[in-house]
Amino acid sequence: MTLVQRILREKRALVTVVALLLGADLVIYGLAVAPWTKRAVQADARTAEAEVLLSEVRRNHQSAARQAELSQEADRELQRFYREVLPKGLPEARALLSPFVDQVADETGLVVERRSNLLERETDSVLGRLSTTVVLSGEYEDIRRFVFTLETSPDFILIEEIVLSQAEQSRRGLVLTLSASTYFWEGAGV
Amino acid sequence: MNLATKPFYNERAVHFCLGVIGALGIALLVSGGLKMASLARHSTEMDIRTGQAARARAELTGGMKDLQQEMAPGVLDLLADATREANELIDRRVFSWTAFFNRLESTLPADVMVTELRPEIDEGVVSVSMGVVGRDLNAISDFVVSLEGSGGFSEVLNRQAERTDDGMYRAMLRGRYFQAASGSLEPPRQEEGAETVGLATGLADELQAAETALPEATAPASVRTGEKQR
Repeated sequence: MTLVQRILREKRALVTVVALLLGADLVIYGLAVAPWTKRAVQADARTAEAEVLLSEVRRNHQSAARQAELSQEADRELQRFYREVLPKGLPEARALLSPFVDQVADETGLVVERRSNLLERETDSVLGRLSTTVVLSGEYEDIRRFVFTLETSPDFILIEEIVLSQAEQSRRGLVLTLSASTYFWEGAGV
Repeated sequence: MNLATKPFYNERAVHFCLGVIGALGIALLVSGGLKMASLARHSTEMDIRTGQAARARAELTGGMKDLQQEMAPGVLDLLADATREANELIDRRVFSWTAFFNRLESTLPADVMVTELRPEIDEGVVSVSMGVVGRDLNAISDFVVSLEGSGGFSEVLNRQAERTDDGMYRAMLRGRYFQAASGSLEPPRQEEGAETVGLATGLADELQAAETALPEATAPASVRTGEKQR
């Protein structure tokens, strides 16, 4: 009998207790700690994945909310532009181009020789366009004052084109052919 | 004299070794138990966090769907088109003809007359088409150089030039115009002592002095509709 066998036999109780302890350790680590560790790693991965997805969705949501906010802001600005800046409907647009332009021409010493008006409605726009082409005669400085007055008026008048030519020999000054237009919201009357 | 039949061994040492191993076993047992509890707690926390993230994601996804319904592609397209149209109108409205005239007057040679002006504004870029009549092609070329030299124009091109019946040259220039900052409108300049100063009269005075009438062809043949060419 070797010394080790002798010791094991003589200290059986003590050795058994220690062996049971070590066995319990093995059981705990093998059947509980290891699976729980694996589960925890999986739970970490699931949580990380869920949080990544959440951040992505949060970013998308913020982007969509920002987009919605911008759209609402743009819509408000558009409504303000349609209702406060542009003439309110055709009657106001007509009044803007016809008496107003004539009045400015008169004030600046130009003579209205000819005028033509055109009303256009584009299918893909909510705006109607009223344009006028007016032929005026007068001196260059008066033409400059006329253009200045027209473009600095608070009303929404666009000077589209200017054609200058010398008046006929029988008359003094220049002839100004000016194309101007204004826009109005078709929904103004609604 | 030792009469024992069994050899001697150090029992203390054996007890010590077994004690150490037992203590290690107990320590491992306690540590394993604690670790298990900690892992269980951690897993539970992770599960809760995963659940919370999933719920938050579901809520946000629902909110996003509502937002997307509000901003249907058709509605957005209409809004974008309307905004673009309004911005384009505003860009055209802030174009200052007076500043443009001032700029032209400072660069226009005496033997060139501007007969036609048409600005086109596209995405903030102003292109101007100018009909001019000059005594000769060199005068028109000088005008082009002068325009670009003023810093207010670039890429000015004499797109088409032709001789008129009166021996003058009529040309159509087109170039890019850099507008002054908005709000810098100044009234037309009045030069003292000058009866008429301007685009068309410079050449007209010259012509009158030379007893030459302005060529009929330089006048527009008919009234324009005001439709901007794009």
